[in-house]
Amino acid sequence: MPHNNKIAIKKVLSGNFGTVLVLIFLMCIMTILTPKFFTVSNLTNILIQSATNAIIAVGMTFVIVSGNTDISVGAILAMSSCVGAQVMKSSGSIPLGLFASILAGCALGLFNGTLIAFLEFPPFIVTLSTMWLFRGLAYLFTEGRAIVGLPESMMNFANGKFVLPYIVWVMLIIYISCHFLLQKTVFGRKVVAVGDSKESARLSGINVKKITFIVFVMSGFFSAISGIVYMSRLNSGQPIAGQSYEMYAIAASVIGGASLTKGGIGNILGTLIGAIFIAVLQNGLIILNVSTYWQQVAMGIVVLLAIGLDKLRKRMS
Amino acid sequence: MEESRRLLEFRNISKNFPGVKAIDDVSMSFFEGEIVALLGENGAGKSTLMKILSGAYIRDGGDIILDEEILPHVYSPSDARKFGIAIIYQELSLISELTVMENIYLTHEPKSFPNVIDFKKMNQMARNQLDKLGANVDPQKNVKELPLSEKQMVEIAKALAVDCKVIVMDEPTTSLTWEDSAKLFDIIRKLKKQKITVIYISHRLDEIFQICDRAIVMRDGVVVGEKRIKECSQDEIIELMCGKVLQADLKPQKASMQIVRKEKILEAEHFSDGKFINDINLSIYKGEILGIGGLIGSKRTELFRMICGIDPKQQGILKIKDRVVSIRNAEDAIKNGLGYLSENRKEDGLSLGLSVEENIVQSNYQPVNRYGIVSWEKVEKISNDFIKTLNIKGNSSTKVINLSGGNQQKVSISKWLHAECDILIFDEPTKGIDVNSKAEIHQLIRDFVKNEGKAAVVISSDINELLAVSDRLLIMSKGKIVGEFFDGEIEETSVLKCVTTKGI
Repeated sequence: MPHNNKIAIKKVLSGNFGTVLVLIFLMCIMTILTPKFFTVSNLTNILIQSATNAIIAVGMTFVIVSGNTDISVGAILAMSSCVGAQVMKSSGSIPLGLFASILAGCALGLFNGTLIAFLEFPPFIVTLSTMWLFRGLAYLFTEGRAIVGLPESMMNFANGKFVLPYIVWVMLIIYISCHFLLQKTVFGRKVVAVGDSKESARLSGINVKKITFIVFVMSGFFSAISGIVYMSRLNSGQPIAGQSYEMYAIAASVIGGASLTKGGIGNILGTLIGAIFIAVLQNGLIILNVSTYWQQVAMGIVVLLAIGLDKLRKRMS
Repeated sequence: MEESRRLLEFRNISKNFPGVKAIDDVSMSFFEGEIVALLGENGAGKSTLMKILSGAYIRDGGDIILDEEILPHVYSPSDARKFGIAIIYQELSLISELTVMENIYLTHEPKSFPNVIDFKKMNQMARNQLDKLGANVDPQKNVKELPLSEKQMVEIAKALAVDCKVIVMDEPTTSLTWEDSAKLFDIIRKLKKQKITVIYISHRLDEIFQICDRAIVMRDGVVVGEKRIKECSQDEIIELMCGKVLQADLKPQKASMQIVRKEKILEAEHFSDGKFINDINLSIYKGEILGIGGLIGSKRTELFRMICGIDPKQQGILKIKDRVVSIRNAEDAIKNGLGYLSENRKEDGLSLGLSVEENIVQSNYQPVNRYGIVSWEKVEKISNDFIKTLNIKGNSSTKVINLSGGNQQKVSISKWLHAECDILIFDEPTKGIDVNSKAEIHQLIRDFVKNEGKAAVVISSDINELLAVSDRLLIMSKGKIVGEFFDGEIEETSVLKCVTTKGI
């Protein structure tokens, strides 16, 4: 078994080697360009900034590995955090608010999952529609205003730390357990099997519908968790939260090795690297005082480069 | 053919893949208007060599000389077409949403005004081209509406539409019925008359003896022999291919004893799909191998996919071991001890992107499942056992896509043996597989039913296979069972007669 583990670790490392290299390269450039980049406080900041995207991207990776897409995650984040904030505000109970938030996220994921898995609607179209649907509901629910006045301990959570900030711990725990879930459990292997070949999985007696359904509920769940982190950082429920987060989550998964055109590929640790990569880039550009217009241009170019380099590396080997 | 012109020559070609010498210093020549069989077991290097010729792979060394000109070291498949090299793969490369004529003239459509396609002219040209082949196909039909055999003719017409000198056919008859194969041979003979060189890859020796002039045999990436077909026997060729004297078990082998049919293991009653299959009844007995034959379109596969719950049925009652069971999907089927090995290992039989071990455990996670967590130790042990007993060339972490067809099929069989079913349905178990592996797979099926309380169904288009393995044989036609043969009665002429006369 230790031997086997070694191989598995090696596999994951070599699979992500290219991405890690690009990440280190990017960090070197930032360090050279500005002394403000490579400091403990800024690096911690990057981890905190990456958390919301990183947590959504976990669910996204499961969805992509299963051969699907979910672009409604940003809207789910907004809706579930608004519900959570409202419950928290009116009941004064944090646990109740968190519970409501997660319940809302799962319910929205369940809605997507039902349409896609059982009614066999195409995932892109379903989540495109529900992206508008959920976002609209979030605006209606809050009447377009932020929900403020949350209990103070929410803020304390966002700012608190034990060696690392709490938020980073949450992110790391999710990543470690989900890496385990995808690589080591029967459920995880079934997700991979469904993604690689739906028909082959079906003929092998795997319940493809159930697996598809579950990954969409998971996606809703992690969007809600991410929404909670978001809510704690802003100390409010925002209906505009998570705008275009789906794109960042997809980018993180894809930089990390997942493929939008072919399921069955991708790993959770790669996604973490992808999410950190995006956060480093955004953070660096802000420190460098690059205008937001150029930030977007740089973002597009760097993501293309990262994927291009990875392709090149795979072709060489 | 000595008097005719040398058209194509491979000179010292080599190609390595990580850890494998796929092609090792291979030289061979082909003459104008010659039909050459390229033979060898799975993994011998035939496909790699042809992929080099087609431009899909870049050779590591050596020259390809076509018509006295050395081809560039790197060229693309579309360049190859321009040189006059056409390859017809097992998986046809037609675009199913386009019409026949559009496919034939794809990328070089006849145009009238600057860039407007002249469909009228195209139709006429396609008609001519198809007529030349004696193919009765409507050029305006969508390719997806055509049966496989006609698609193949379209593919050949497409190859001939550009000035074509060499056509490579990779296992062209695997999915064809006996009749369609005969038609294809006529076309190949016509190509020969037009001075086109045909390189013919097949595992069916009888075909090669029917149409080929010469056979080149490869093994482990090198050429091991060359024979003129008129001057050699099938056994000589098989010996060359396996590198050893043919063992008795490679030839059709019957169960030594007659099967005692007393206990039914499966009974299907009144199975209908509401479209093609109407009220079929059949039983399978413990310990037997039931062969299912028939022409393409006989709905053999459809019937068994329906019985296994993979495709929906309109009606039908299924009894397994005298108990009525409700099977709505493959999961239910496996739970009830019924497994279906798909005929398309590339489409729905295997997860090509995953490793051998992941494919094997896919049908049954129970033995490796510890409270939801996969025990990789066990997975590895189970798959290594199968790799050893089934003689799979690869290890447990090899991606299935990197295996040859025969080895892929063995992985697929391992998967179903691992499912621990009592009844296994093998749909075209040896499609596109060399003689040696074929015999091994037949032996595996035999061994499987030898176990207490097991039974197997073999669906096949290959009559020799059905004759070799079946204890009982059912012939289907157009969704009905039209003939049944028991042990002793199974011999070629009567079976063929049943298929060809009752079939249509």
